[in-house]
Amino acid sequence: MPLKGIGLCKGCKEKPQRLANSKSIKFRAAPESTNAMTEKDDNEQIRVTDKRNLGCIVLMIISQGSKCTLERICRPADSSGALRMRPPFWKMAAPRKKTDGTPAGSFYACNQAQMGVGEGKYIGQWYGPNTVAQVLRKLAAFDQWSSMAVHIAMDNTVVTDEIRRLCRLGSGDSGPLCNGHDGASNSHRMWRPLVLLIPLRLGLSEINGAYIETLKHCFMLPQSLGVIGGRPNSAHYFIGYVGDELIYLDPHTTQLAVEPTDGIYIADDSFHCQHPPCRMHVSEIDPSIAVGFFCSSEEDFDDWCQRIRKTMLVYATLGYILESQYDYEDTKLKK
Amino acid sequence: MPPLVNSTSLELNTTSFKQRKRLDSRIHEVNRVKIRYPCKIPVIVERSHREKVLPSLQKVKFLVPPEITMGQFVSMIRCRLSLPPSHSLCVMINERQMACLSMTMLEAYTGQRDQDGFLYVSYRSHEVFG
Repeated sequence: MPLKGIGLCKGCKEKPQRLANSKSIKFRAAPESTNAMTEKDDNEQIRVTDKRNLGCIVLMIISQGSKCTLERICRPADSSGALRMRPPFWKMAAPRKKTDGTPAGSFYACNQAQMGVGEGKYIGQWYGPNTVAQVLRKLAAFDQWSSMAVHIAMDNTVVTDEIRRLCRLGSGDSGPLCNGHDGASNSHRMWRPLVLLIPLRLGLSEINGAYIETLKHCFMLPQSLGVIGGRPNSAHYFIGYVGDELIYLDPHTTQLAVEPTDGIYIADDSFHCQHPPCRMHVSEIDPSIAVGFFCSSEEDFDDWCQRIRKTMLVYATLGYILESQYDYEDTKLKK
Repeated sequence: MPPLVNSTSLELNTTSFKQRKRLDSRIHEVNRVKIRYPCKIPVIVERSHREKVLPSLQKVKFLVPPEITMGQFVSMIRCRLSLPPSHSLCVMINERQMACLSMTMLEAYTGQRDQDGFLYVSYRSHEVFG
């Protein structure tokens, strides 16, 4: 049975057992973040009383965040065409360092927890996929290192105009759901790499069978970043599928923090998932999910739109693509 | 942000509209409404019974013009619930299908109305995971 998932969009012919351990999955997924945030470095900001509560979902977010970064770094730079090697991607989630005052990475877990407060979640409370997406969007605005644009498609609807406005550099105004990165430091790039998150609910208490094929198809798109979701009460990061089983990485592990250094070589073992991916039947998944996509360029985004439109013709639709928000401009009904 | 739910709304929403009224009285109600407002679509909007975060609506029965889109209708629900734009609101038709926001209410009604003549719409927020 072919295994399909992130980076394996053409369907790999290897056997699933072998592939589960293969490097491609491990690399592309980069699931585990490094900071053992519940154990150190966090006392200056948050007194974490319950380690468990803060841990899991936050790790899941970082996994998504660092994954996006990795994706972005691995693409050739526009000017030289060469790959940028050894990216400081650990900075994204690095904890605050007290001795030399190095600022914490934008996606540092405590920052995430603090951003969650703005979304009505007190520290220690569990997040849903939508909250995760909102927090990630807010944090991306603070991220100095990558010019990543995070867009969240609310109400299952992707408005392409909004995204183009957000990603094209030089256009200053950003909508309420866009992070307001001005991109001035990266003026040579015309398109900010886009992370598109679509929070969905594919059923009330269990996933509606009509959407399963479409969900699977999402993993096959080359732009796929996987799916954040889980089974009831436990968060997972889905990266692909085999037959009717979804392959997921379990973020419920803390790993040691990597000390931020300016050296070129850092040990990045703890950025990867130490244990092999697990599997679960697709019907066990909780219907609340957020599907992630990454578009490195405008052509990539156009390609994604086309592919999604094609998917919509064949399968039950998960979401909708609109050219502009004009249709919804005057949505406040007169009573 | 304080929790959006208050205790009275919880009690009101323990039973659904279908459970509160028998089929024949629902059909009767639809017929009555259709005679009085022939150009409107009768819609029942209810909070899903397991929802704990979002408040329930004061009124569940809505008469909707057929030409408005589902998107407009959903944003009307958002207004009624006074939800911030970043808060998730998942609107489902017949408790199982996601609402297509570009569809007009008439299309939704003709395709997915209940046998009693109402269109049933329920809403929930996202689940949380630990």
